[in-house]
Amino acid sequence: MELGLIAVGAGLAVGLSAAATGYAQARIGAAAMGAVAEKPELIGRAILLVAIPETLVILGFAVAAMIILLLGGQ
Amino acid sequence: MLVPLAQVEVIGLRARLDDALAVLQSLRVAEVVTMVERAEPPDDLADLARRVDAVCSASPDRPTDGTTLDDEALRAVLERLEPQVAALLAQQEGLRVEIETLPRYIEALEALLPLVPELARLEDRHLADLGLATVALVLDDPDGRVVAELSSQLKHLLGRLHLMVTSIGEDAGPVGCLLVFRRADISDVKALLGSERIANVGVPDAYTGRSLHSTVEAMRERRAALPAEQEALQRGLVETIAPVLGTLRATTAALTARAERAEAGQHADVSARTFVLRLWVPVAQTAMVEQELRKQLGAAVAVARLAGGGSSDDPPVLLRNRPGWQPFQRLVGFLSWPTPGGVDPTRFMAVGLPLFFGVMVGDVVYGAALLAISWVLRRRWADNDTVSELGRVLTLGGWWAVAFGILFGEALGDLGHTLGLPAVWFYRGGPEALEPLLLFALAIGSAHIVLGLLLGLWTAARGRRGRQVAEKSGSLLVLAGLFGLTGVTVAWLPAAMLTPAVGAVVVGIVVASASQGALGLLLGPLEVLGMIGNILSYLRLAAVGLASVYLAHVANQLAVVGPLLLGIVVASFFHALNLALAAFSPMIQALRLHYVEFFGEFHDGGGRLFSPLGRDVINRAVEPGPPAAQLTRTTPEPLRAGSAT
Repeated sequence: MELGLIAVGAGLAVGLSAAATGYAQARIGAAAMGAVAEKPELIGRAILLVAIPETLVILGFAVAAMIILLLGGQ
Repeated sequence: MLVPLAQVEVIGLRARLDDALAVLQSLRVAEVVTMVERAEPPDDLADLARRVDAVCSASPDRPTDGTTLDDEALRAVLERLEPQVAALLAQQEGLRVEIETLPRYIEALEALLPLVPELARLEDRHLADLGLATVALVLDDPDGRVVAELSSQLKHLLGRLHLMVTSIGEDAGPVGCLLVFRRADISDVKALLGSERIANVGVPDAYTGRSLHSTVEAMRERRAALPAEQEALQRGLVETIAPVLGTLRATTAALTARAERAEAGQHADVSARTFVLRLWVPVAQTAMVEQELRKQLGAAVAVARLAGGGSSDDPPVLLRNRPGWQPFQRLVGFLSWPTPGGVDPTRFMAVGLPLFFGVMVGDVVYGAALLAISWVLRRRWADNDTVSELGRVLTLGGWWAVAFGILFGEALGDLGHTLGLPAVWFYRGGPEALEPLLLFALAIGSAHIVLGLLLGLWTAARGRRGRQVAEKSGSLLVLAGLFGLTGVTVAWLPAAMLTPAVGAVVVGIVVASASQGALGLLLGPLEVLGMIGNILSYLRLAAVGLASVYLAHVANQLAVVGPLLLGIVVASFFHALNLALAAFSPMIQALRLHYVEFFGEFHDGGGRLFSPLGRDVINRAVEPGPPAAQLTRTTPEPLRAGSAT
């Protein structure tokens, strides 16, 4: 397969999942910071909640790595 | 580790309740259990302590002089001092406001002087002779609307019979404005200036009646005199409080101790002649508490340890870890404290967090730079716990970063590799590095999750929670089966292992599903999928590390594109940026891997920290004892509860 398309595919896998993560983090982060403003002791949980959607981009990275490793070598 | 706690019951004569609490306060190893919720509020001791603190805080710190006042004498001192201190503080606040605002007036009015040199020298009496009046204003007009509005209103009100001169404010600063008009219109103009739409800050009354020139002069003189006046005021404040400050500090400490005992006494079960106190005490110190109470109070109290450790709706937890692990203990508390019977994850975090940080940073120079930064943090802010503990975490992470930098052969990204630094294991920047790096991250993830599951299994087994035991066992079986399948697929294990591996996966899923009850068919497989997702989440160790490597690579590439000097500047900037990211992002990611993936397997959270009597009076240099005037200064008792705070 053409190398360029493989790169585009890998880029899309990471890029789209990063956008989704960003969207989710923006929503969660705003709410979490509101909660922290009221109760500063919730900062630990706020970090946890904000960090949860990052799994999306990590999975995107895994898919991109698989695309490169499995298709890039052919 | 979690320190086991036991409940101890103290029964004694009601008259000796305060003495018993004083002994416990000095020991600082006992938390009073609420046996009775009292409706009546505690006395006003805490309020009195707050009043004393408020007076003391107005003056620089001074050690206690050991002399304490009884309540009556203290109230008399406070009633004498409070009005004086309040008046001096109010004057101080007035001066502070004047110091802030006066330069703005001067700046705005000074700008007018060259515009109207003759007018600026006319005082009120000269203007009165001419039948004129002037008003000097300072306008808050960041967008120019107020000046336009004022000009328009004046035209409407006075026609052409007025003069308005304004300066131009810089950077949305204040605008100086001088109005000249007929003396007969003075009331109309003042009414206009009082309207809401003309936001002016006026000129203080002290400067009215003067010419603009002499107003500015007077303001300059005032500005020069303010620091000395402020200093004199501060001196006056210190002189007012200083004679009794040492005594007040000693008295505050004594009051705090009394207030704490009064509040603790509210939780005791009290009859007409006796009291019953129930305490949480570390098991290892119960004998000492019993011995000390008997020694100090003799036959007035009886002490008994409750069989089975006692019971309580809300038992506390006491964490005790080696001093080097304190920062990680605090990080555990950042999320939530473990519950009694659970596992203290501090030691696992102390090992895992810096290790993950090092895997992600993995660069000899960045690691060394982080070590230097952490050394500065710990040295410069040694008395700031938070910064010092952050420095300690960075130190450990920095060492691991150097170690993995050697394994990956990285120094400032690919610069070390280019200059011939050998990679002991593999170089992360190469095209062939992705596969081993991903496998390494997954291996770390698998080990960490398995450790979490084992801890969860152990906790569940200890707490005799059958459903959780089945769930954790099932998950472990599934993981074992998956590892076996992977081993067979890559030919690390013989093909004969395929059947047992598949069997382990199936049995594991069935066990995990069965543990979920009626919804097990749905929740069991979901649980297994979640666990696999958790392991995959450790791929961030590779992802963040690669991002750091490639950013450093870009910095090095930019360095050789243009002239050498410019290249060094650009590369330094990018490496500094990368270093800042390396100090922050991997720490957050490592923290998240612990909080979400690792803790999720065993950490219940929601625990309440052990809060021993006497904790609030530590370092107050006071020996709790009989109430009121008999309190004197002594060295604090060295017995420490070792609580996590």
